[in-house]
Amino acid sequence: MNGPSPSSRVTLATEELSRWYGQVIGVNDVTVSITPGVTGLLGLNGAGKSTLFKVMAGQLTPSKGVVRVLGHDLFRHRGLFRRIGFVAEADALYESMTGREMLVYLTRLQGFSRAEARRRADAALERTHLSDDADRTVRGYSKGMRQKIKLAQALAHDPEVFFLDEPFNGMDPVSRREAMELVVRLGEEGKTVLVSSHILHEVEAMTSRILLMHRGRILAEGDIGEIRDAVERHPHRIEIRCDQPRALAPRFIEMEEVQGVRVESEKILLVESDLPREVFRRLPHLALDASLGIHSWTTLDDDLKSLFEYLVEDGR
Amino acid sequence: MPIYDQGYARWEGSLRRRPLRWWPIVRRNFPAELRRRRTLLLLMLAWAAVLVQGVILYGDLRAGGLLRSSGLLKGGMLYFYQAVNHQGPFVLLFVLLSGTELISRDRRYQALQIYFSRPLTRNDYILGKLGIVAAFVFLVSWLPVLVLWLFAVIVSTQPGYLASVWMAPLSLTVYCAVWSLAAGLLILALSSLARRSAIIAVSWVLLYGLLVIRGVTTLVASLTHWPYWGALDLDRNVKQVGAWFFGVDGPLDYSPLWSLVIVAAVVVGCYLILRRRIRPVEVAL
Amino acid sequence: MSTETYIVQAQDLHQSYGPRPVLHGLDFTLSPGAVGLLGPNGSGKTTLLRTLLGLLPVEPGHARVLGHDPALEPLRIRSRIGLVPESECLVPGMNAVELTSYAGELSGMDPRDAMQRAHQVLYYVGLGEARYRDLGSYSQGMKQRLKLAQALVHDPDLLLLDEPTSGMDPPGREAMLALIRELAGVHGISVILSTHLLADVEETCSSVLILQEGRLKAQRPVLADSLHPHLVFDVKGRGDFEALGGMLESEGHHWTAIKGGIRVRLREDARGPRPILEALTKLEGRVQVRHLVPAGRSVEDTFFEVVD
Repeated sequence: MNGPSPSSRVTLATEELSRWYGQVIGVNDVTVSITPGVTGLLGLNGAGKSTLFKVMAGQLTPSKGVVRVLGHDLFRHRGLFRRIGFVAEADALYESMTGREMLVYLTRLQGFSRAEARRRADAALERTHLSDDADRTVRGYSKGMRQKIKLAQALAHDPEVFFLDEPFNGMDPVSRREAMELVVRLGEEGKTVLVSSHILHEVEAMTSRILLMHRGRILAEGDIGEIRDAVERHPHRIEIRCDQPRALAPRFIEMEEVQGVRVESEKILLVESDLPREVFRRLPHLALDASLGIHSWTTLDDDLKSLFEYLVEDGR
Repeated sequence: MPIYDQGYARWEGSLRRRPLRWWPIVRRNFPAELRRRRTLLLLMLAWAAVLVQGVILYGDLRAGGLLRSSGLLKGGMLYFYQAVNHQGPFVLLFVLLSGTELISRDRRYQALQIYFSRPLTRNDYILGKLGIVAAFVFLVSWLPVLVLWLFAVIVSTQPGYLASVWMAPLSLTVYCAVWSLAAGLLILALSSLARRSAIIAVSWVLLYGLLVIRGVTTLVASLTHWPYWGALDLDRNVKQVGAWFFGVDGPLDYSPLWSLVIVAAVVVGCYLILRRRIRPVEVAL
Repeated sequence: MSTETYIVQAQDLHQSYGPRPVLHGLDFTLSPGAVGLLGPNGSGKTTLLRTLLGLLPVEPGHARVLGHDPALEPLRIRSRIGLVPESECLVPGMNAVELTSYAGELSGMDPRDAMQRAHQVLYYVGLGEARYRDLGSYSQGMKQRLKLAQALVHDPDLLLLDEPTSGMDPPGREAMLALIRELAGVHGISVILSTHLLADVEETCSSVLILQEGRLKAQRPVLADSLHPHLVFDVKGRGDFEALGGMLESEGHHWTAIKGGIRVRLREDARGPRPILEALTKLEGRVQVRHLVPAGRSVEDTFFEVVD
């Protein structure tokens, strides 16, 4: 790819963005800068993800603050809407049309000629693996197919910024994998993709960049690994499988960075450390010492699931 | 000091294999409907109507007291047949109130699977739902008229009166059962076909033979001098059958046997519709 | 009960909707425990569950569920099964206690037992405080819990769960999976979990049943044995894993990139991860290995292996 490297350019930003519904606040003072590539938007139900999506995609006006898409204020440059693709969580489709008809219709609304809309619709159907079912009426679509047609609708006008609110919900494993691959590819093509999913390991599989919302605010933003290391309250727990955990335990106790060592079973030693760098540095050396009999090790809470738990718990 | 586990506990009791599998449907839904203010109010009205009949009867007896007879009771069974029919509007009202949403709501909320993932058959379900409607029909017609009958038997000094009307409770019961069956199954069938309550209610009123059908069939029958136009009027066919049980003349000018056939045909038709529309397979896995 | 070594048995089980065949002769047995039922859309999962519940006609002799033939004794089967359907199944006008006890009564429980049990299971699924609330105010997660409660009220021997975590956020999902694990693992209620979320199966089930186009594609334990305990390792963490891969490749080992690291297939003469450890000591400071484990086959691997 030519041009500036994807990470340098902010394509999507909000400044002190808030949105209330009467007295209920959906999004509260959110300021973020997002660069091209895939970013995962996480949060509990009711954290404000869907509201944030709608405001960013221009479906809802903000109560306060600014949304910048590709550098411009979204609500002052209506032309920007054509550069946004949005998969809403809500499931409102034209039930009596066929998938293809609906897609052509929606794409024409974006200002394309009939022939061009057709061509684009076909291409989008192809990309979402929906071509075979395109001429059935939407009413008869399965939940997964409905999600796919929503995805196709967001793709057809070839936008630069994508908002995907739970796009994989209801898809079967095969469709899920295809759709996830599509999202990753969009990111690689230099598009800016903000995607939410409750299935954290799916988010992990698509990106290491996340935005974590809690109670309408942004709780954490950035690389999963960096965020994890910044969470000090929860020490890393390293589970070591070995022949003689009791013989191994003293080798860790003597390290300053280690807070606790626990014999979990006759085969497992659990090491707790706030600053595990030293532990990880020493582990390969210890493992090479055949007398200690280390077979394998794994870090228990080194995934997005634990990170999510820690952050949301601490945010309470 | 024992500490008891508050987690999941297996249940040691045993499930009853009762033949009345449909009974919980009535047991739980009928009282719930009964607790509603609207229902209670209408129920009061329905009973008040019978109370008025009782008062009139009593007044009539007192007036003709010296003659040791009453004009009203002279008709014997006819008096009670008419007393039930006087409750007709309430029966219709309660069938509408209790029946309209019975199945459409289950379909809308996908509640059918609550029933059919359990040891219940389609017939149990239909029977349970019908039981709710029937309970109301009996509550506004059968029960008060039975009380009226008791009252009449007690206050009447006419010799041999009891002997002339001893059949009334039985006739009353069968009449109310047929009434529940025809009106109930029709509303259930409609409730299983349509989604919107207004449509269900209006089509039931039309099909049951009230308003338009009543007017048209009466008019055409009198113009053509052919009484069988009345066959289209389900309500009057039910009343005709009822009259037969009471041993009195019904509202239609043809044999009550025909009415019985018509009512039976409607009941069977509705039942078949229900069997088709309520499919346990719809358990939306 | 004691003679039931299998929860479900199917022998040449066929099913069709009208002329369209959906299940093409399934043969399998399920032992007590939790099994995941997987398959793409249209694979026949739903049809299989409906058949096991005795809701679809089958010829006698092709299936047994909890010791009964669904063709002959569907009601006996259903009195011992609890179903958690995917769609909402709320009876309007009832709160959680009423709905759950009603479900119990429909299963044939005495009204008093049903009421007592309803409170118990609602507490168990975590709806104790919310049990009198209007169902309209329930969140998606609470509705899922309520569906589980109504399926547990009559203390079934077999639970059928269809997408039980759909719409739940991560902590809600965890909690639901923990309940399922506990029911199957501690309380001896067998579970058939039908879902599109392979991870749900991985976290709760001991085996999987994979269907595709009405045919049984695989039946395997979830904890599949390692690919090769001494030769294939997953190495994950932070840093420059390509450098690690490159270094191992120069010594004749193979590697592929995986999420968060690499999968290494050592030369046949290797006995354990020593080559990897040696490479790591040379790369000190550039790679931080947080996981070094013999590579196993995940449910996802199995699924995409057998489904084409």
